Amino acid sequence: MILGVDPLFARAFWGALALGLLAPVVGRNLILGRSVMLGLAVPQVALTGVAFVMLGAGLGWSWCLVLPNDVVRASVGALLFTLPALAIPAAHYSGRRGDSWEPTLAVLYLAAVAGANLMLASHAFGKMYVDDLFHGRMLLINTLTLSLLGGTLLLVGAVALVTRRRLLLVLTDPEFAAACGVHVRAWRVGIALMNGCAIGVAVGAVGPNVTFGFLILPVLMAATWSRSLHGHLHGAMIGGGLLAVTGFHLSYHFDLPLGDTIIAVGCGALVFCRLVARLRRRRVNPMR
Amino acid sequence: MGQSVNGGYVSLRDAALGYRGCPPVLASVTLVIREGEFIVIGGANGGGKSTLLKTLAGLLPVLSGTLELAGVRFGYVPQQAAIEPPLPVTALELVQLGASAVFPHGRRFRRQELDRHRQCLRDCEAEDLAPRVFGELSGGQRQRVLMARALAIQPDVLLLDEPTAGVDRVTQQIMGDLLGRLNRTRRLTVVLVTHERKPFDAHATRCLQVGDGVMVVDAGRAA
Repeated sequence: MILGVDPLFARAFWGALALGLLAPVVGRNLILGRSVMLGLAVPQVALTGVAFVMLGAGLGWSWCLVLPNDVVRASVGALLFTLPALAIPAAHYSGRRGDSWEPTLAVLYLAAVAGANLMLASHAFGKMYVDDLFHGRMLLINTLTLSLLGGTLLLVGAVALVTRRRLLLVLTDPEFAAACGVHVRAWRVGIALMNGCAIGVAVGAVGPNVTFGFLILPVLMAATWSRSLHGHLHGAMIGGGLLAVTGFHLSYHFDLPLGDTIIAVGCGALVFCRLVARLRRRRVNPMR
Repeated sequence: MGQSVNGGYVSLRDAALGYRGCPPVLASVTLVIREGEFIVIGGANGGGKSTLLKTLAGLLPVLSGTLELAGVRFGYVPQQAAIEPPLPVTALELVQLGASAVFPHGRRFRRQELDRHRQCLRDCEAEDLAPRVFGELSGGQRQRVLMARALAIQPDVLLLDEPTAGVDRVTQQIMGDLLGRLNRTRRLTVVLVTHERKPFDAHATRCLQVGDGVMVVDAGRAA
């Protein structure tokens, strides 16, 4: 019914649903690999990539002008920054216990925010475009963005499905995998590139906050009720889909920004799931 | 199994072991591990036990000297406390993920393979743990599941890092007897590092001691 009102709504809905169903596949990799900070920093780095290409187009750089429109520019910029930001740490992963990238990622996040703001300080159009992305104004998704987003997420989901066992082994116990002869570093770079493609294109389409929300919230929600890795993935995908539908519905009825509504609903649902899980544990074991 | 090296599965000759860029933890290590052996490596904390095991597992390169492997398959059992998946994983799923290390991508497990995974859990007296979430198991239960995971890749050599850490004395003895049985019935070569040699003494064919940067071969059995 709502979808028939305007193609803007239909595209925003399908974009949100694609993210809700498929972003948890990537989000699960981030959580299993204990790299949630990476999931926070990288969308911001992708946004800096968008700002960089917008700046380039404003300054008349030929390679930026060759790209046909702002949507393609945003996606190319996001990928240009995201892939190295993920692949370089993965390639330098030593495997030694206690190695932590968190301080580096925190600095990367700060540098990305400052970099994006500085690049767009005197570029009004680019600033507006990036502000829209930052606020997750999903109604601005056009057909090209939707196709790019859906296609990339489907491709990443298919690769993750085919390689799921080896991928999960490398993420849960890299030492065991290495002792069995698995090339852990190559796998980590592969996983980083896969995640990078999904995150880069998603940030180019819907911005960093909505991307991060869809990556993490359904995965955390499903972790409160599922009892196996298999069930968890299905739960996260269903949870992500429901989050998209509910957020869209509330946003339309109360005339709220779609991206922020989805994140707010997701956070509320996560708190609810955790409370229910705690009550259930107490009922099973009153001493807890 | 490939060709043997110096009459064994693994041969370390005059090897310095440790981490790149740091002084060696162990120097001049010479060791040959043969088929069917049960080797117990003891020593104080920080003495280089785990470094030796990780070098044998191929997780650390030798700093100098030579390490020769006879193309054998290693099953590595890390300390149970090191495995703490942040999402719910059942014991059976963990075993199946382990088995996937030597399994082609994209193909579903066949019935006989699924049966073998359950058999590995059964061999480690952990079949009833199959549907349980790994993170909710006790130390001894986790250790048995991790051993089953290592068996699922059908290894020639089982390498265990402190298999009795964090488990009570009764469970330690059960673990010792379980490994002894696997060593005898499957002709599985077992190499383990431990603080507690006693549970394994009845089964050990050799005991080694590491400490102060050196390794003493055949340190004898505990009383």
